[in-house]
Amino acid sequence: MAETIEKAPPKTDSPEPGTGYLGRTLLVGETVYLRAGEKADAKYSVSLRNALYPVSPERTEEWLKEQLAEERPGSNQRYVIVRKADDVIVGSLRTEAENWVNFWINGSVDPLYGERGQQWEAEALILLIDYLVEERQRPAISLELPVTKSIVIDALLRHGAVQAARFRESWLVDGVYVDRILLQKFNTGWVESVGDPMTTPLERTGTGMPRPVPPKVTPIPVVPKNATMLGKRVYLRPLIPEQDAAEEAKWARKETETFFDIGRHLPSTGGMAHWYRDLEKKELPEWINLAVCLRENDLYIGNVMLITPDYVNKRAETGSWFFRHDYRGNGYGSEAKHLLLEYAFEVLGFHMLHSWVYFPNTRSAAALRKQGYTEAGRACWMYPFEAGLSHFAVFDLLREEWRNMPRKEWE
Amino acid sequence: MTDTFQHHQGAQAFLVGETIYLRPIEKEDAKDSVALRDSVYPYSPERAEAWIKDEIAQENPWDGTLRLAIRRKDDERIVGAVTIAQGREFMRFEISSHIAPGYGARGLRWKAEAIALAVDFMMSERQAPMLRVRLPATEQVVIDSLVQSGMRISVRLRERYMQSGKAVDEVILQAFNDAWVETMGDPGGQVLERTGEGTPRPRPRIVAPVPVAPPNALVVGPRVYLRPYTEADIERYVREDRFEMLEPFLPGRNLSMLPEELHYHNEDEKADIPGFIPLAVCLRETHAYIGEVALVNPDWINRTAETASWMLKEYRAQGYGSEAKHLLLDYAFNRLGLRMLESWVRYENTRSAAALRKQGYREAGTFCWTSYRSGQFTNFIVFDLLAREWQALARDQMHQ
Repeated sequence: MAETIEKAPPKTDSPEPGTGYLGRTLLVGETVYLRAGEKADAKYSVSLRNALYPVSPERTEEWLKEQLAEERPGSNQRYVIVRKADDVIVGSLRTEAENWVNFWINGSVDPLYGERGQQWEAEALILLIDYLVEERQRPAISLELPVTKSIVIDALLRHGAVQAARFRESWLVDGVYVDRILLQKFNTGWVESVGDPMTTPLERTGTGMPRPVPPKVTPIPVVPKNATMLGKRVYLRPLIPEQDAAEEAKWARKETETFFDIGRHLPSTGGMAHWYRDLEKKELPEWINLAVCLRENDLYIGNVMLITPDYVNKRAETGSWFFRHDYRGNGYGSEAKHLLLEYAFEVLGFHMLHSWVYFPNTRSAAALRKQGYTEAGRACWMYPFEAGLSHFAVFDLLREEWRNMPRKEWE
Repeated sequence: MTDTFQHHQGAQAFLVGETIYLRPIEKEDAKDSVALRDSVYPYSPERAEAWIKDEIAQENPWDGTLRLAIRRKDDERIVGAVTIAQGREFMRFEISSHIAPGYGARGLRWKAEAIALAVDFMMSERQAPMLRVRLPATEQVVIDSLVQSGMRISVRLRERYMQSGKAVDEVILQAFNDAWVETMGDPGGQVLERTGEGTPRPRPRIVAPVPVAPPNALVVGPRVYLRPYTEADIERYVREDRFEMLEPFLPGRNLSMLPEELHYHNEDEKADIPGFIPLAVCLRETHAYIGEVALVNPDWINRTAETASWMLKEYRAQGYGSEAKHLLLDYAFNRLGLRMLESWVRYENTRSAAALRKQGYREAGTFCWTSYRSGQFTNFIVFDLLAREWQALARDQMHQ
């Protein structure tokens, strides 16, 4: 990785064009190099940062000085991609620690550079992945790319990354929904210690066949208070922060099952309520959480949710949690889930949904298959489990697939 | 709102022990503010309520620090608290606990029970490979109980606390997940490679009074001096990262970001009670900046801190680092009145460990499984140095 020192390294942060990489001992490639962001980079605001509201150099300078500087040091870091020939910034990458096992890389080269840009992006990603896996000793590095970035994907696969999952139609490119590829690279030392993650068998339960979608129930004479989506036995409503958080915290303490997550959680009422209040304040929240209630008596029994909705690419992750364990296993979960799917596809107009399930949680995976989801692959080494590093089984579901599923008849 | 599950009976399925149980801290617990929080300025119920509402509530409810009240089963009284801190990037899982004063030996038994519950939960459910607990050696009841339950004593830092006017050691206990031990081998099995003689060398002369004091100097040695850190030093430090060839504290080199480093520098500099004190190392001859020595997480009540140092690569292995370090020790012990300093070094970093031994530090133990390399967990060696030991070291008579 060390670069031959051709000349004395520049002593300033404004090097002569084409000299900025000289003397650098890490993250220097053939045509690009990576470095930490600096205030002076703000003039390349478009290449530096992909934002819905394209940001000016002034705003970017403020962002570099104030917001970026306050990001948690160590775990997350932003790297600027600089062209060696002229020290022009062509893009940026950002690392984010999921936990001590998995690290995500996000970011890209400015799309205006076309195929050349893809080559620089591939080079930058290989530099960063090697640095993280070999030098920083991270067990797993993960990144997602639209399938249209074939130059980048092919280069990473040739470099030892694996395609762990393929989510269908989840990236909007030039007006067309294209597949999204999850690529991963693993530290070879960890592969030797705990085995090849791509070969771990996924245990399956249930028939694996989709079941009919429950029928719609509108109009009805008396609509439950504040109902957002209505089913035969359950309905969805907005969360009432203090009241619902207290109920969830109380039942979390009574939980006996440990396989839904990596152990049980003990949330406090205050913490949950704060989070719910925070989410509902936002016009486009990063998490849409809805309460599931029984029509019969309005009892609040669980939640269904859209996690990190991508409002541009019209995709979201789905999740559900039934804290009232006395109401699990009676079909309420699947009914509520289909109400969420209807809300996501028909009300919010999402094009595809995906879901991530802990490998040991065969029950939730079976439920997803019944609801019409298709297996998209796996996301390896996302958390420690039983003296090894374990995976998520990942699923996807397209709007048209869900619309075409058979509907149940009223009994 | 009435909590119909106030009592533990039937209301909680886990983290329940024989005499106490652990429950998330809620707003209504604020009345037991002294039991909930150990702070220099003891919290009133009003302040505790604000802390719970405004600070704890903002922590991520799923993935972060877990704060639990210790409740006595027989009367629901809150007698203390347990904090389980987890690092996102490295395997930093730490359990700390506090019991309200006045409970004596009973309180220590509750503390032992509470920590054991938390350790078991983190190991069996949250899949933590390793956990640590730091305790004063005077809490022998707790230490014995945790050792009996399978925890190991990894490190003993001498005179880490002051209690009733007496210096008291700190015992760092570690719990290891049995399944991980099976996969990775016994954490104590790694061999510590040693280089150098391992004996202290005379410390350099402190130049005082100075005929002509270097600008803004704090402590002056024969060849180098220490002065406050400036923004220009930070820029140099950040720039130097790009040309680094050696790994710093953790695996892999780092690429610091200037705005981030400036932000944290400004925060620490502004603070009356700083959490990090970096000092610039400069050559007396030219005043050139050549490195940094620092006090990390100073504990101003117990008067201890961790030490750290870093030198520009062209000034390494020429004795500048050791001279600067002794100037830092002089500043820490003689100027700030600290009593004990500790230092943590990766097993692989034999050079820094040898330097610490030369400077008079003593080995306090091995802290296992704090990081990883090549698919194996790796260890740290921990050192301590007492003020009186350092003050008793001979002075170097060579450099006048």
